[in-house]
Amino acid sequence: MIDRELQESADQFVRALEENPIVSAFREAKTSMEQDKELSALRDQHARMSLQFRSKQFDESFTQEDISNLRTLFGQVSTHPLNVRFVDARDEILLLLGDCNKAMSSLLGFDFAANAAPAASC
Amino acid sequence: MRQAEKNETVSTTSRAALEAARALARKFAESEVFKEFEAASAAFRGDAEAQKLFRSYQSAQRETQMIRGWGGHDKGFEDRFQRLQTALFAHPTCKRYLASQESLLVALKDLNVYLTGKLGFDLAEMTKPAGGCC
Repeated sequence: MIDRELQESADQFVRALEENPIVSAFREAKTSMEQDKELSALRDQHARMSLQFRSKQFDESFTQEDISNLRTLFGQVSTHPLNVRFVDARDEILLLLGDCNKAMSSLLGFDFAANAAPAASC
Repeated sequence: MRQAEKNETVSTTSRAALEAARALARKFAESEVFKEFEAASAAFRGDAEAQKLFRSYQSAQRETQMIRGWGGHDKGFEDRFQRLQTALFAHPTCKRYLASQESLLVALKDLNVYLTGKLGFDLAEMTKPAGGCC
């Protein structure tokens, strides 16, 4: 819960970000990536296969075919046009948000993001 | 839109976002919780006894965690850690400093939750320094 004055400043900051084409491009790229059934299926398949591969690594039962399949799938995900678009958009927004965080942190005297982020879970 | 125009739009809106970020930080710095943190930090920095106690507590905490991490238990270390923890929270300067730090973290996280709700992505999570787990 934040007080009204801080809320107004936060709203202005949100509006300023929303007017930036970098932010709208990121949101569009994220939505497109999340809503694409083909890419979602590839990502799910990659996640499942990675898990299986990790458990095979424990008992050293993985084969060269497992490695090739995982690499192929990773290549399909990473070169998918919607994924490429998302990664580019994310790189752009990270620069902008990083600059905003630096601007806030230099005024506060500590790293805003490092302290405001949700606690890490292992 | 031509590339030059697009670049100009990005540049202008990025400057506006940076200025709005600074305004938000200035507003946060005006809050009671931030002022109390500043005052408690200054009091802590000026209190050699409190700093010494805090350092001893941190050292005992590290040692105890290390022993626990190895699956061990040393009553001597555990007792020392408990004694220092009690002393730390009983020391007025340390107690004030720790309480102000805790309140500040809660306020920062509340602000980030508000921003995340409006933006649809977690600003702090996306920009925090990369680090290991725990």
